[in-house]
Amino acid sequence: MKKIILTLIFSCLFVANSFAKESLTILNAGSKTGSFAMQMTAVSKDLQEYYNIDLKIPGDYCTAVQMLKSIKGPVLMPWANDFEAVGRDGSGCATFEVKPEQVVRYDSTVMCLCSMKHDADSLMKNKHTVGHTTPVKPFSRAVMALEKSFGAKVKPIAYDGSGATKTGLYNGEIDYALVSIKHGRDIIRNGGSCFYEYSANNDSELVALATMDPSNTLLIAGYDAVWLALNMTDNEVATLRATIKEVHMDSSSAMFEYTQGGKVLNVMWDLTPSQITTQWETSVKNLQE
Amino acid sequence: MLELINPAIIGILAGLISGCIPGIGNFAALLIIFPYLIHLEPLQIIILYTALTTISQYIGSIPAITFGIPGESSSVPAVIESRNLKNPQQIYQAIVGSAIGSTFGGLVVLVLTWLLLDWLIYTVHFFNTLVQFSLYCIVLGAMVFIFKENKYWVNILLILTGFAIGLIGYEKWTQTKILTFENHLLYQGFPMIVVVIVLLGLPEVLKNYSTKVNYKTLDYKPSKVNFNWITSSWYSLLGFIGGLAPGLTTTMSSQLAWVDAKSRNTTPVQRIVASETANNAGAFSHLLPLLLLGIPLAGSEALVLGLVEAKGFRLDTTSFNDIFVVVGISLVFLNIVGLCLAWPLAKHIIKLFQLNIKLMYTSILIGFVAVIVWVGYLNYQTFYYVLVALALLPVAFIIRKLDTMPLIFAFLVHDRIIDAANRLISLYW
Repeated sequence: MKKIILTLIFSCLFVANSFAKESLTILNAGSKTGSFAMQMTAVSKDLQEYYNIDLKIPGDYCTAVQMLKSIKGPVLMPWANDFEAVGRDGSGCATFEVKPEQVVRYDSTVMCLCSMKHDADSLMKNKHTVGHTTPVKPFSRAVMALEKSFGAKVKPIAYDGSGATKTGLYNGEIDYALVSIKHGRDIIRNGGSCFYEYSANNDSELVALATMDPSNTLLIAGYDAVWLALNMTDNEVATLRATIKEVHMDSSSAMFEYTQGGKVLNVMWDLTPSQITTQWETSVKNLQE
Repeated sequence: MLELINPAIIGILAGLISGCIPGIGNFAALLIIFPYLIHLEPLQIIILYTALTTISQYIGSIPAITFGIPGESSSVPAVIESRNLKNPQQIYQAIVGSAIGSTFGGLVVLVLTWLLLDWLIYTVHFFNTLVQFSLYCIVLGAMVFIFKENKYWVNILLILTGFAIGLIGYEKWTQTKILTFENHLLYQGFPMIVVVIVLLGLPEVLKNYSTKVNYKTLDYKPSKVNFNWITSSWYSLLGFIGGLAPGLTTTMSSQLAWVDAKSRNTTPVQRIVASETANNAGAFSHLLPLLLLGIPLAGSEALVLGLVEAKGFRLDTTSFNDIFVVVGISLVFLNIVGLCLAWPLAKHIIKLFQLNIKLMYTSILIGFVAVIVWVGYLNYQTFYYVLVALALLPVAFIIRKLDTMPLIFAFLVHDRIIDAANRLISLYW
């Protein structure tokens, strides 16, 4: 009888173990309410089918990097060029070495200038306030670049997250908002307009500021973000990369909804390691002092 | 909706603890169930908190009327008036009247809010940084004078201490490191749960540790209960307004109604019913600034806000409509549960006081230690959490006889105040 019970217990354990999902800690390195938090929440729902997800949103990248040191198992963590830029400038609290082989997603979005009641000309001619998100230094520098290149009389106003920046724009506290194109679309949906973007892209629907003054590199500004697969073997990284790509393409997924099928976020799936390094380093340098 | 049932049940049980045990308010009740709380989704956290605040108002009146013990601070008028109850009929009338009044008050404010919904959302257009900053200053200013257990300068010192503790770490607005001593663990600052447990939970339990309850069976005789819906509507309205008082919330609701009832030469029973009707009305209205603007009026709300935001959820007008519908429906059920607990089941609720209260406090203290270790473990920082707790113990000892809520509130909202202050400077200077 004992043998039968033991056999049954071990069989159950064996079967349970065979079907057990891998554990994956998703560690949000951004603020609690920013776009990283939204994306990590969305992807954690999508990946639940494949992994035992432990989502951590400590609220800032300082804490996240500290937590990372203590996590021994597989981790998915996003990292952004603005964190890296202030870190390298010596005013942040952490820097992180991005190894291309650990990157499972690379995305890039340009920043644009939008308003509810002012037009494109007014920004360059009149005194205006421009709201932006944190970290303060890189984005306030990008706003002040308008003054340097075009003589615009602008005052940067920092908000904690893009949601708060949009609220400031809606309640009339600020005249313009420097936000990613995704949030720019929200502003347009709410009756506002977007005019300029911080890029050198001649084909853009908006006026690319760097084409108006190519000498000012601060007129190219955007969020470049990498999703890093840490504490994993090459095979595990490859599996995670494929799964993440799959959920992005799945029209019923939370990530598909967030990116609106890739329309509001430029995710680059096929970058080579050297392309990742080059693009990442350039994007960080554009935000550095 | 099914996923909201478990959090609602836990919220009801936490409300029982908060309402019954002296010194264990809503904040301390949240701390006890913290390990459960951190695994919940934002909406589940809000429903749990709604259940907790609503049920604690219902339950708080039972020990207040029967034993003269304020289970929670808004029951103080009931404690005072309970001394004037002369016979078992009056005790019965006070308990039943309070239960019915609380249900009436809770439902009246729900309807009132529903009628004012569009207007409430419209007001957000005026909610700019200046208004936000002013509101925080009003809340902190109110705390200086509200917590009368401490002298006003002590409250100011507590608020400054809360700010100072909150400032430790990496400050993202100025991008500076404050008192981190180049220790990377300190970059994140002191963990919220450790500060709250050591500097609020611990002193509160120790202060009430020697509380004695002389248990007696509920001796009431059924008799006719008069319920006047016009005066109850008036007290509900007073409670609604009082619930919006920063730092005081339901305490202000019950005090306002009690003072008003006293000025009308009412009987002790009517005064108890008035204050209990109002505090349940306030239990909902004090949630409104939190749900609509993300502005906490009390320490427990600041904790809930922090938890909800830690899930990547923003409380503002965009989410308010959806949340209001769910909270509204839940409140109808919660008020029915509250009515049952505070009226037909009151005789059984009172039996909780047969338990050894010292043993309960000891269990809570052990629970607090377990929460610190467990949350530290979940965040891969057990050693750091325990170390911070030990480092804060001397501070807890110094302030053990004070009401430490001003310190905790300042600690919880310091980053929002700094955020608003920085923006104000950029905007106007």
